[in-house]
This record gives sequence, structure tokens and C-alpha cells, in this order.
Amino acid sequence: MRIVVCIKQIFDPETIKISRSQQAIDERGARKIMNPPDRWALDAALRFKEADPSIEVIALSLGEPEVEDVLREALALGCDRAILLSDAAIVKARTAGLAQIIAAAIKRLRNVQLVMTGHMALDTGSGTLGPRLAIELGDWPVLLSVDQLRLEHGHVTGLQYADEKYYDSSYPLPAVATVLQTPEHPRYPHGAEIINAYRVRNVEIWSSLALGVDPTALPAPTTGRQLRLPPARQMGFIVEGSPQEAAQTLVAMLRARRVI
Amino acid sequence: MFDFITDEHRMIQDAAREFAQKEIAPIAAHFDETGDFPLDTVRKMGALGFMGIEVPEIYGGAGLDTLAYVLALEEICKVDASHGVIMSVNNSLFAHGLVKYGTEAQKQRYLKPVASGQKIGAYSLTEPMSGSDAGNMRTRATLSADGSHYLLNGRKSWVTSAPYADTIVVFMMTAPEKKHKGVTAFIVEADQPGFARGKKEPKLGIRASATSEIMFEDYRCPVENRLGEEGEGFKIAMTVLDAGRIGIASQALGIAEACLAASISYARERVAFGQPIGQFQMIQQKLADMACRVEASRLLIYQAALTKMAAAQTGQRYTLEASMAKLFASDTANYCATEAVQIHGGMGYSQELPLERYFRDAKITQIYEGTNEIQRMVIARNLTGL
Ligand SMILES: Cc1cc2nc3c(=O)[nH]c(=O)nc-3n(C[C@H](O)[C@H](O)[C@H](O)COP(=O)(O)OP(=O)(O)OC[C@H]3O[C@@H](n4cnc5c(N)ncnc54)[C@H](O)[C@@H]3O)c2cc1C
Repeated sequence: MRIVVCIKQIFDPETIKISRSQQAIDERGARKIMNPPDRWALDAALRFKEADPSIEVIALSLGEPEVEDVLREALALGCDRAILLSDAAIVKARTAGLAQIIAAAIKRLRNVQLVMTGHMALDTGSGTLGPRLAIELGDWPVLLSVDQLRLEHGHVTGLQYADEKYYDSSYPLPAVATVLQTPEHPRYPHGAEIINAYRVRNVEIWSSLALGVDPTALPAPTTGRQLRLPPARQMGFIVEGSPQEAAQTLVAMLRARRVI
Repeated sequence: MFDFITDEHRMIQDAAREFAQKEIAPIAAHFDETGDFPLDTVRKMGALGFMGIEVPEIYGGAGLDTLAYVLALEEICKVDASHGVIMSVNNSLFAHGLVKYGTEAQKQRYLKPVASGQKIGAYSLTEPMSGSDAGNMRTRATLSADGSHYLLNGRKSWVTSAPYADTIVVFMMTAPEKKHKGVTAFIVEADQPGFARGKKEPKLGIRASATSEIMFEDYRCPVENRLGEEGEGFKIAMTVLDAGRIGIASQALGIAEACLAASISYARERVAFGQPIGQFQMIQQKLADMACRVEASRLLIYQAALTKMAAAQTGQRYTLEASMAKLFASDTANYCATEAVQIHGGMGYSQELPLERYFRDAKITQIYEGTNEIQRMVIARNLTGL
């Protein structure tokens, strides 16, 4: 069986600068990395492969040619194949259109039983790709924000996180799962595998033409209007005194502000 | 800009950076304080190929080049110079020597486990009575009458990783009357009789890296474990140090960069006299000088690494380039560490921040693998031919 892991390349949040005066993100000199939640998803997929070597793990990404870097990283980490969906039309696709293109590629691959991705991309934070893909693939069941994912008896099982609770969930394959980041850090690539990823292995490039989709005809149900920074946070303060005095002062302050 | 740095290099650099930040940063202060050896993370570095970056895959390494090595080492040292020196000694002083001078059997037996990080390697040239004047050794190795083995005797000092090393390249006199030309290199197994380790040296900095004396009393070293020919030891020691110095330069660069990065953010945040201290010219001058020296060090290191890569084809030495990189980067590390503590004021002196650790760690880079006095001597001799 095949597992497809959808991977996005994003700016490393630690390397972008945010200019309050410009109300803009300064991406100059920023580094691009694999979206961390996707890295966790990939790690989970590779663990399935370790347990059952007949499983083939395929990394899939969409975007500009430079996105190839994260796919090479995926190869270095242990994926069997890496596919980049890229052409001039594809790179302009957004949200819903994006899911349609990826779903078309997954259908092309055949025998894909599980599609995994991070619970969200850290740049947009929307987390909608998983559910959209499930719909595009023909209403596959979807496990959202899941931890401790397992494959057993043709089912995918795990703890879904929602409303600050975990739900023990299990669905028959084929299915989509969006994976949570856990404290345990995913694997790092071995130096020798990095060389192989560049010199021996290869990233397959698929175009929209090959997929039989016309990205320009795909709907764009949402559009971004404006990028705005949250207001600057006010400095906090410490209420002094014994616990009793402090509590009294605090209550008085909250009353004065009509909070209580 | 530097198109010799490929995507491949970037990926190994990213992996090293991430590993350093996630795995080493949280424990660095603890191991500095206790002086314990961070065996766990060293083993993990081995599993990623960091302990034998330039060693061909068939001998357990990652098969990458010198640039990959310096980029990865720099990232590790930005976070912790102790992990850095353990990595550097394993890679340059041990593995490089075996790759270059080892026989096939020696590579299979001793290089493979060290390059893959299962075992730890060390390099022992210095003695209590001979450091800079390395040709003046007191240790002796004598060939047995039947020519089957050498008997090794004497005391070597300041051996990085010795308390945990499994295999050590040791230099001893086989023909004292020939001075430099009478030195021979041996591969020593630490679990054999006749070998003993001294106690760990308590140190100012790089405290998580373990250093000790090693003692030999009629240690039997089979001739198969001689590295290179008899009398070739001094040349081997010096050739290997060329590679080592590029590593120490990268270690120094990592420390300097950590100091600069911390200073930049502190200069933006710390307010005095109603403005961020980064607006005072005297602080600006420090930051500007630190940044220029860091970049200049980086360029000297790239130059040395590229020269070494070219030398792999031509067989030429790159002594001058390696010395220049080591000298300048180590002076830069000390300059940056001093100024970084100063920019942080009292907080720079506190163990709450890593600045005082960087300050203590920086000093060693001017001392080992040839003091900076020796580097200046080497450079000047190369220039004048005298
Ligand atoms: C933490 C640590 C780890 C080490 N790890 C290793 C290791 O793994 N393997 C190993 O073999 N060694 C190792 N060393 C030893 C190190 O390389 C030596 O300490 C160094 O080479 C200096 O030798 P020395 O200590 O004998 O000083 P000396 O040679 O006695 O020098 C004392 C001073 O005199 C100066 N000096 C000496 N000769 C000259 C000259 N001709 N002109 C001008 N000035 C001169 C020196 O620069 C120095 O300032 C380590 C040392 C330390 C502290």
C-alpha cells in the first residue's frame, strides 16, 4: 500500500523579521524549511514503513521549483519517492484549487490508502488542506489533529485532539490524517542520505497538463484582503503585597475597570 | 553569493543547526556545570554521520566534503563548543589521519566504528614536557626482537576525549637521536593491558569535553597497528593538524557568532538612559567590529576548506590557509566573547545566560592544536621561507 505525505515549504518563523511600522513581514534573508507539522506527519509515515516494509511512502508538494529542497529532505529522511506538482499555472493556485490538484495527483498514484499531512501550516495556520483533500478524494474519512496514529486491520486509529480533549477515533482506510506535533522530535537526516538525495535520487515533477486539471478553471472561494499585525501588547504589572492584600487590590482594580 | 555552497551543504547545515538547537542547547549548561561527558548526544551525532563527515561511506562516514564539515561544526559550536571539540577531534584528528595514512585493514577495524560514532577516537601528541615543541618527546616505542610488535612506554598529556576514547592515535619516539624524524604513529586500543588513563583535568572552559593524561607501561602494539612508516610520525602529526586547525577555526567561528547574535538582540532590547543601548556609538562600534571579524573569519575558513578540498586531488598541503583561519577565528572568538560579556553588563557575568560560558570556552581556541604564537610562526615561516 501507499502512503502520501503532503509537505509544504514555509519561511522559517525564526528567520523572518516583522516590521510593526510597515505592518509587513520582511522575508529578505529568511530561510525556507519544511513546515514542522508536516515533518511530524512524515516521521509517523516513515515509522509505518519501518514496521511494514511493503508500505511505500511518497512525499508530495506543490509550488515553485525551489520547493524541491523540502522534497530532497524528505528523500534523505527515508521516503521512497518525491513528487513536485509544479508549473506556471499550478503555483498560482490557492486553497480549494490546491486541494483539487493534489487530489488529482493522489488519484493518479493509485492504491493510496492513507494521506497524511501536518495539522496545519505554520505560515497560514488554516489547517484546511486535510479536510478539503478528503472531500476531493471522494469523501474519505478524516482524522483531524491526531496523535499516536496506528495502522491496524485496515483501519487508521489515533487520538484526535479537539476542544482540549482527546477522542479515541478509528476509521477504515482509505483515509486522511492530519498529524499533531508531539514533544518527541522527528528524525534527522543522515549525512550520507543527504548526498544521495541530491546525487542519486530524483524528484519527479508533474504538471497540471499531465494531471488533466486546468488550475485556472479552479474556484478561489476565499481571497486574502489584508495582512495586519495584532495590536502591540501592553506591559503587564505585578500586584504587590501579601496574598490577601494582593487579592483585594486586584479585585478592586478589576471592579474599577468593570471587568467584574 | 558563495555558489560553492550547494543545496546539499545547506541541508547538512540545517540538520546540524536543528540538532544543535533541539538536542544540545537544552543540556549544554548542565554539562558545562557538572563537567560530565555528554555521551548520549555524542552518540546521536554519530548516528547522523556527524562523527565522520568526510569519511567515505564504505568506512562508516557520511562521505561529505570539508565545506559540509565546517558548516556543520560551526552550527554545533554556536550552541556548545564542548560538543564541537569532541566532534572536531573525532573527525579531523582521528578519522582524517586514518583515511589518509591507514591501511585497508586499519580502516576496516578502527576507522569504521569511530566514523560511524559507535566508538570514540582521540589523538595524542602532547606530553607533559613537550607541547609546542612537539618533536621533543620523552615517550618511547621499541620494536621487539622478532619484529612483531612495539613496546610503548611513557606519559602523554592533554588528550581530548581520552577518558572515553576507545581508539587513540599516539605519537612516540622510536629513534630519539633522529629527533623529528624519529617519531612514529601508533593506533592504540584503550582496553588493552599496559594502557591507563589519568584523571580528568578540571578546566576553565569546554568543560563537557573530557581531557586526561594517558599512561603506557610496556603496552604491546602489534606492528600492524603502526600508522604509516617508522619515522613518519611527525609528518603525520603535522598533516593531521592542518585538518584539525580548520575544525578549531570553525569551532571559534561558532562561538563568535553566538556572542554576536546574543549581543545584537541585547543591544536592541536593553534600555539605558532612555534608549536601547544599541543606539550608543560605543556599543555600535563593538557590534560592527564583531560582525566584520566574524565574516572575515568565515571567509578564511571557507578558503582553507576549499584549499583542503583541492589538496585532496593534488596532494599539496594547506598549512598556511589552515593556520590563518585558526589564528584569526580564535582571536575573533575571544574578541567577540569579551565584548559580548561587556555589552551584557552584569548579566554577561551571570550564569543565567550562556555568555560567561562562551567567554570561558573561547580561550582554548587560542591554545590547542598549536598556540596562536605557533600559528604566527608557521604563517611567517611560510611567507619568508626562513
Ligand atoms: C583542553 C585541552 C585539550 C587538548 N587536547 C589535546 C589533544 O587532544 N591532543 C594533544 O596532543 N594535545 C592536546 N592539547 C595540548 C595542546 O595542544 C598544548 O597545550 C598546546 O600545543 C601548547 O603546548 P603546552 O601546553 O606545552 O605549552 P608550551 O608549549 O609550553 O607553551 C607555553 C607558552 O609559550 C609559547 N611558546 C612556545 N614556544 C614558542 C615559540 N617558539 N615562540 C613563541 N612562543 C612560544 C606558547 O605559545 C605558550 O604561550 C590540549 C590542551 C588543552 C588545554
